[in-house]
Amino acid sequence: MKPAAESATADLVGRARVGEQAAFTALYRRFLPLVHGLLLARHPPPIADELSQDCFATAFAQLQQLRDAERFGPWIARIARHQRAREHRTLPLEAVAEARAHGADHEQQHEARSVLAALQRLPMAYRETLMLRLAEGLSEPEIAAHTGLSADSVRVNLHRGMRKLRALLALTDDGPPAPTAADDTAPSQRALGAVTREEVAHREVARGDRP
Amino acid sequence: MKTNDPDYLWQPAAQPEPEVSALERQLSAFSARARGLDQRPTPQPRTRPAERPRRRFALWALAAAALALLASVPALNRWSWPAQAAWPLQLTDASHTHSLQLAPGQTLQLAADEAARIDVARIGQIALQPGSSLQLIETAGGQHRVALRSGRMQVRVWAPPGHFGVFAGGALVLDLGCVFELAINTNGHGSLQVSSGWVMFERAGRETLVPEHHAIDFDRQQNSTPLRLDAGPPLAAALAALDRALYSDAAARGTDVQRLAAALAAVTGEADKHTLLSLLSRYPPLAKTALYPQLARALGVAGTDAQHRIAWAAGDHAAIEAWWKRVPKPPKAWWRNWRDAF
Repeated sequence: MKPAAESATADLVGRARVGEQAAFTALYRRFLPLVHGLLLARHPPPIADELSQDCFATAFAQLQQLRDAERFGPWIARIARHQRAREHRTLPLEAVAEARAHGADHEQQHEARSVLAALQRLPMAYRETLMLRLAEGLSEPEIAAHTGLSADSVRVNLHRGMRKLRALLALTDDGPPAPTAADDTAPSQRALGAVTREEVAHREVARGDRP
Repeated sequence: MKTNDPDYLWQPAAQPEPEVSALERQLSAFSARARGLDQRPTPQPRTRPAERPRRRFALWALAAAALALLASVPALNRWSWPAQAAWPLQLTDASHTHSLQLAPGQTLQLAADEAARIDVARIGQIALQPGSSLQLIETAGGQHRVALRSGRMQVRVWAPPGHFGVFAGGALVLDLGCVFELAINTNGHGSLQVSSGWVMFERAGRETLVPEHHAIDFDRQQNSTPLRLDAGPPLAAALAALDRALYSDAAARGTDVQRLAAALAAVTGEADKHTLLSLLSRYPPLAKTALYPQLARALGVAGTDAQHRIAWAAGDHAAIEAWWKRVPKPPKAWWRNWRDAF
């Protein structure tokens, strides 16, 4: 038997249909970046994490309904795109972007928040493709193979999306603008002391009145 | 951008481009791998619970479903509407009432002695006040949008959230199942008062939930924090002072936010929980001020949790969300007002 990770998608689907646990695991590992990237394009990171799990649980339960086993990627992508947040609540990306950027210091979190906010303003097709490429690290052929899009479409989405993203971020050769002084201290180290107007204003940017 | 293949933007194995690499670095912190999802146990197929032969229960369920279907017929008819069909309206002037129609794209401009009653498809009604100007932007089942250019309108809508919305001064006022009044002048200054249910005021992706018996003021740039309609002058003044300080750079120079927050906390009570919740959600660092314990009291949170307060001040989503769960969830259960459907 071939190792599950190296098997063709159709083969994995066939084995998963008869309940082989290793095949479920291989499908999960292989398509997790796709599913998570698509959800990240629509939801804040903590919700995208949660919904990724839900999406696979739903897909695995409906595996018998998949007609063309080779097209598992586009099929689960469709499920991910229609996955709804629990309690029907979708939260603004910016509101939680900084909550758990694993492994990032505060300055990186600030920059990532700016990029996420800018991405949120792009058309969905560009947002999805850029998220898969920049956040999940998929290449153009991988994105095309997983989503069922043509390589040309992926390339156009990346190119145009990047152009729009660059305009939104007003990127220069020096990269995104640096965080303000108010953010120099990591939140966890910040004493519960006096609050400044500048700090409040900085936090207010692009944030709604509800979480 | 480079044009020679292979381009790093679509082929990560190519020579890295600094700009793309920087974006990758920033966003990769949110990837499935960075967040440890690939190390989590594989999700298992979500199976339905085994069906048990409970015939009596099945019969009851069938009867309930039939009743629900019967009851939903008027509602479904009410929510359906041919795309781009004109809305009937009654225009009243000093001496007559005229039956007219408002088609998508048309603007209804009322004279100083005219008022109008406009049917919002089949889901509600607008009372447009003299001198107002209203344009019908689009209409179709589930998606009805108008733009209030100037003037005042009262709206009553019975439909699921989001079916009806009003563009006003660059913002979208989205009905979540309710009765509200919206006014705006030609300079873009306006107000929104909600009599029943909830309304979402949205501008540039930022959302403000306005619950019933609350109001906000707005201009082309900002909107105030929702405040009770029956709030006394001291509370209104204290909130306006803090709002002003937080919105306006010029006004904020030298302003002591801590003092303004303390002044506001001193005049708020349990009835002001939505004002406080809204304010602290928009400006999490205000959790460092006297407003946080005041919100805790208003929400009936027993004891104080220093970690929660620190987390809130740092903008932690989970900390903020935990207290939002203590207030009734919007939108209001509009379906309970079933009589409105007929």
